[in-house]
Amino acid sequence: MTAMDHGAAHERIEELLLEPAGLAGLESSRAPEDLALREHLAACPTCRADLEGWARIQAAIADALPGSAAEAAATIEPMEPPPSLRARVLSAVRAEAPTAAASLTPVQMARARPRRMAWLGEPRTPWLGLAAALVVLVIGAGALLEQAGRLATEQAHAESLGEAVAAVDRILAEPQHRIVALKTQAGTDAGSISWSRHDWVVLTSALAEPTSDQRYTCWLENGSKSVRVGVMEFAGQTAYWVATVDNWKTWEIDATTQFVVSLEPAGAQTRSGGIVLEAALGSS
Amino acid sequence: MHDGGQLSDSDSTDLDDARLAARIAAGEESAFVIAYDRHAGFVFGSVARFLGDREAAAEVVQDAFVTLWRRARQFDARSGSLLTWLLAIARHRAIDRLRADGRRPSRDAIRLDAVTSEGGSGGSMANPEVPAALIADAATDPLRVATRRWTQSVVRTGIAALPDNERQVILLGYAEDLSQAEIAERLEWPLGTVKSRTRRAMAQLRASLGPVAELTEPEGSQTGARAGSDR
Repeated sequence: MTAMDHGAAHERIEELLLEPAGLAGLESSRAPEDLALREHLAACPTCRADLEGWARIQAAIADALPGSAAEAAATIEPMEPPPSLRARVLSAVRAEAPTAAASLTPVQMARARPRRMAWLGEPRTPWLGLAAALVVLVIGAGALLEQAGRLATEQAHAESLGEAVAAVDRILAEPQHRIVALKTQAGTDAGSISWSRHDWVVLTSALAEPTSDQRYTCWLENGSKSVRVGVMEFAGQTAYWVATVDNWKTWEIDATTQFVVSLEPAGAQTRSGGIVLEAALGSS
Repeated sequence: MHDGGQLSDSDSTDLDDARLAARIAAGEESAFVIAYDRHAGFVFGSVARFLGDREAAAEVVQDAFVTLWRRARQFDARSGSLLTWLLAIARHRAIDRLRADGRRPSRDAIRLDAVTSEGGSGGSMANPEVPAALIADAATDPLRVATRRWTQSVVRTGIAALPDNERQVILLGYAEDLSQAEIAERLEWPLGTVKSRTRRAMAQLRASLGPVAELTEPEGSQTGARAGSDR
């Protein structure tokens, strides 16, 4: 048996990786190339570490997949984030902007601030940008950041509502869309719920933004069955919730299904708050 | 992006993790958006599979990306990719979420995992009894159960992200225990094509899952590795 070098060892490891049981069979294999590989591994910590890494990957894949292609395929169906999440994240980040800016050094401020405040106009020259940033730091950081934060919030609100409007457009474009009125407990109209095969949009101007530890939470209810489906987002005076119906394949909406909004502690998974808004989804 | 579009299209595809994180740390929102568009789908898929709750997953993903915005300067590309850094943050947040909600991976989830494990290693689905040791683990070490479930969630997301033809060979190889020759016959592809797609799939999975898989004990397929390390 000739000694195996790194290249040949990696080639053999790659070959063994093609079958899930390939690495597992290495120890007991009597094939000359496997004997040579074992000898090489015994003397080569680099290749040994590489093989251990691959073994972990193989074990993780085997552990993650059920024992038939059909069942396995069900566990790996695509899961896309809700379309509204991007705007939510950006809005949250923009709300963080003054804090993040405050943690920057003056030099970082000089580099970063002109970029983030693009609505102030791009500096014509680098030194002008630096000078402007330093002036912001010295004489007007508080006021300007407040103004920037307000503008960013308004911009984020417009983008968020833009997603809701786009979803409504998609809903209305589908022949089999549904629209029902959202009502207060007193029975007055408070907004609308519209949905199609894929999209779901709730819009209301009857809610005021709650405190940071509370959420207006959305529920689907049928008799004693209740499931939390989302939380209302706020864009200025408008509260909205945009979702993908595809996520609720197991929920059947019938004549008795209620859509309910209640005020709950953030993260609540069961409804404890009173109903603030509701809609009978079978009423359209 | 909305604030001036400082990054060109070529920038957005060419930016490596280190430069992207540096730009985020400098307050460039456009760089942050690139990171979100690049990784949010993978992080969301992993968390949603782990929690079984899309809305809660969205909140965890939001937390993870806000943390990226706040702490991008702490990212060290030498320790791993930006995706694995985000996944580590999301994992902590998701487990915190389970604790806060008073939930843990349910008995049903454990039972399913047990079946999955047997099936994944070529065992029979006809005997879905939960091994006593696993139930004991669940009772005494919920973190271990949660860690395993997290790894499964990330791996499934990684497999879901593969191109169709690479995903197929992994499913048939690992879920149905078919050899490369049997996969070639089943799919009516040349054997060489099956091998090259399997190699690409494995390389991609290792690139995206490597640090996550370190949480996994290399059972079953570990003998080769141990044979080497014991010497």
